[in-house]
Amino acid sequence: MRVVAIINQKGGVGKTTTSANLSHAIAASGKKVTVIDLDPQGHLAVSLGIRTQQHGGIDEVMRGEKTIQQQIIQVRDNLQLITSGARLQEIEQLTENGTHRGDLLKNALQTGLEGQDYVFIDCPPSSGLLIVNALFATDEILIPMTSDFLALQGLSHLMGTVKKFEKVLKKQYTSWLVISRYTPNRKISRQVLNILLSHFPNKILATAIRETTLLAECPSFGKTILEYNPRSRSAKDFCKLAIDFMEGRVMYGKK
Amino acid sequence: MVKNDETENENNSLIGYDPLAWMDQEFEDNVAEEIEALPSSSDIDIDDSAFGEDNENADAEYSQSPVHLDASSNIQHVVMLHERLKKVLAANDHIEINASDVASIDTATLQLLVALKKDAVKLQKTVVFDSPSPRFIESAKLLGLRDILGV
Repeated sequence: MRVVAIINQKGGVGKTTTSANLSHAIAASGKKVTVIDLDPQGHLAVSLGIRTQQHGGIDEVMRGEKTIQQQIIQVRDNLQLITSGARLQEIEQLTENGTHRGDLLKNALQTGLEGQDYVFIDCPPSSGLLIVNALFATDEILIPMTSDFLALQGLSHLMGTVKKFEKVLKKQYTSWLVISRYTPNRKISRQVLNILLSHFPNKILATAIRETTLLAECPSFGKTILEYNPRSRSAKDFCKLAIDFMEGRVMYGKK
Repeated sequence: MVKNDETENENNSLIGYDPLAWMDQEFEDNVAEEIEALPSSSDIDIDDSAFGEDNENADAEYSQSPVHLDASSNIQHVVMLHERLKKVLAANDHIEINASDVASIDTATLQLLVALKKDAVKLQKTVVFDSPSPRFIESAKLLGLRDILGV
């Protein structure tokens, strides 16, 4: 089972879009996938058609009040969701457990997900305790990146955080980048991609997800792009990305 | 006319500085620390035979890919390897490094190979390691270089 944090503290880079569509594309290929909404905004659940907060979420599991099995929602064939829950934001303010606060998610995932091929954690756009929990719980990170200068700046900050964790936890993350919201006809997009390739050779997944209006539309219908417009180039992008991710296909420096 | 302007402007960077540059510096600092632990290279006896009286065919062959890494790839051979890799990089878009025979490799050689990979990316060229030996992979793993070397 691969447990993967979809992470970038910068907002608007496509974390939730990637989480919803990539997890569905992998599930559609026959693999068993669980996706966890670790963002208190709960947008992943909405994107997958869960609009109410009637369901308990990962918040209750992290607090030790429920088990993972109790919180699972089967949202598609082979795809199950664990929502954020109404009290996830409160986890950020938890202090009573002292140094163990960072272990809450890792402990929560110890049992209950046997038989799953992939577990994705959709992280919030912050660098607080929820991110600490995500980095404790996984050895693999997937970083959605837009191709603009401020995203480079954000990535620099994120990599600083990741390297600190690697030193403290004495482990090395397997990291992947996915280029999202890509506009190939913009010169700066190509230049940002070249900079990324020079710093992350063999780590950028081969398929760039191109910016389209369809990807912005489908969450309001509670559908992934594979359901909203399966023939669109965005659906094809995510199907290719799913294969890239499963097989480790990356860009080698030539676009 | 517009197309020509675009082509001309393609080389003009729209990015004022690279926020990720520190990652390279940090990596180089770490490798430099590793190299400091190696024996001094001042007494290294460089074997110049490969640069001797080569005829044109030999010179052409010298710049061809694949490059075969020696069983013992260490700092004693790194100057020669550096010269060869520069020529191979200049002459080829796709470079294959055969690392199947490597029985021991040091940080100086690995640093050179990492530099080759990075230069190749900047030039939009590719470097692939063919059949890396278990020792090569193990050494790359020890230094956290498996991803960057692609092995």
